[in-house]
Order: sequence, then C-alpha cells, then structure tokens
Amino acid sequence: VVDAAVRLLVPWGALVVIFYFALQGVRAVAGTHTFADIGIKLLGNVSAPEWLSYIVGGGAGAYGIKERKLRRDTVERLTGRIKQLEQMIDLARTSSHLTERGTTRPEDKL
Amino acid sequence: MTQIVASLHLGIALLALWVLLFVCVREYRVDALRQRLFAIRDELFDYAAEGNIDFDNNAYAFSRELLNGMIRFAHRISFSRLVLTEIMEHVAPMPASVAAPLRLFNREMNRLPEHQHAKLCDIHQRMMQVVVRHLITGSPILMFFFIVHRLAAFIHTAAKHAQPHPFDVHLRGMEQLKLQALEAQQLELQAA
Repeated sequence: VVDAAVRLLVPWGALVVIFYFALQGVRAVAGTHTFADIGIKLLGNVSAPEWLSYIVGGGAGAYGIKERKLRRDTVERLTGRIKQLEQMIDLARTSSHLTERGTTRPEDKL
Repeated sequence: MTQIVASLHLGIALLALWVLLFVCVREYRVDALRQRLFAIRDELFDYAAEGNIDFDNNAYAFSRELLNGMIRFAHRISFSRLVLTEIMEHVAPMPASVAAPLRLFNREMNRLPEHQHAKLCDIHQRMMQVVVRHLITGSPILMFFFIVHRLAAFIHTAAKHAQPHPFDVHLRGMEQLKLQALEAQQLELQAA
C-alpha cells in the first residue's frame, strides 16, 4: 500500500503543480479578459514553427499509440498458439498470468 | 495578455510532457522489462525442450516460477519499492520460513550436474541484470550513482581489459523482491 502511494504521489503531485501554476496565470487576468478572448489569442498567436512542433509532437504520439496497439494485437494473436505448442511439450507449463494482450491483469495493478 | 497566452502554451506543453513521462514512458518501460524477461524464459524453455533438463526438475520449475513472478509484477518493480522493502526488512524482518523457497532453490541448484548448474545460474544472473537495469534506468538517484560506479569501475578495470556486465550490480533488497514475486505466484497456484 505504501509503495502504491509513493508510486502515485509523484505523477499526481506533478499534475497538481502544473494545474496550480496554470490556475495562477488565469487568476492574474481574471475580470480583465473573457475566456473567448484568451482562446482566440491562444490560437491566433501560434506561429508557424509552433504549429509545426504541435503537429510533430501530436503525430509522434499518435504513431506511438498505433504502434503499441499493433504490438498488443500481435501478442494477442500469437500467445494462444505459443501456449498450445509449449503445452504439447510440457503439460505442466506454468504461466505469468498476464492478460491475452500481455498487459497487467486489473486485480494485479496495485 | 501575451504573458497569459505564453503561460497557457507552457501549461499545454507541460501536460503533454506529463503524459509522455508518466503514461507512455512508464508503460513502455514495463513492457520492455517484460519483453526481456520473456526472452530469458523462452531460452530456459528451449533448453529444457532440447532435453538438457527435465521439465519437472525442481530447479527448472523454480527458475520458471521466478521468471513468471517477475513478469507478472514487473509494473511494481521500482526503486521506491526496493527502498521500502529494505526499510520493512529492518523494521519487521520477514520470518525465516518466507525465505525457505530460496534456500530450497539453492539446494536444488547444488544438486544439478555442472552443465545444468552453469546454464541455470547464467539465466538467473541475466534475469537479475535485466531487473537491475530496469531499476537503475527508472530512478534519477540510482542513475547518478550508477554512472559514478561505472566510471570508477572503468578506470579500475581499464588496465586489466576485463569489463563486467554493466548491470551486474548488487542492490540490497533484491532477494526480498524475488521472494515477493515467488510468494504471489505460489498463492496464484494454490488458488487455481
């Protein structure tokens, strides 16, 4: 339990810090501008290199997600065959108890 | 106004970085560790399938169970867990009975013929190297000490031309991690 708390504390703590500072920024202009103003400025003030970096970053993320899905699909497709073939040689073959897609079972997560 | 837009851009970038570090990289590292452990488990299976050791040999079965446990709980293997395990060991030491499987394994290993003993020791050692690599590369603190250790080892052994495996590092608490993995696997077997 303590280990799980420590593992969760770092990422969620970082997220809280990010939101805190973003909120401080918004508070600084509270009452002087509407959210629509800020939204228009946010999109309108993006330069071409910044757009390019957002597209490259977003594209790389999407590529990574698609590749991961492809790999997990492959794991799912091959796992059953490997298990079956290995059990033909070793009847008492033991398992790592991961899911068919090679991920952690929900009950093992914490 | 320009400042608020700039700070919002920074916020978006920080959020993207957060997702990259704490979702993508974290999941990738666990998958990579599992992949390396699966490769070692496959090698162990192939070794037995070639008739070099019986599938029902206790040392083989133990090695496979240990690898299974490490694969299953790869997501829990972290520096913080290692430290907490070590602290817990000092505060409330595990009863001797908990360490019994490791003693049994060592006894079974010593009974093996030389070639089997050497192979299983090699597999065991590589499994630990893979886990230590995962622990070190996942912690900035351990990474710092590792680089210092590697530099010192390089300077010390450069003259002798004998470079040990970079992740052949003994970390306190590793035996407890192995025991935890084994214990969970045994509970699963009993439940089944």
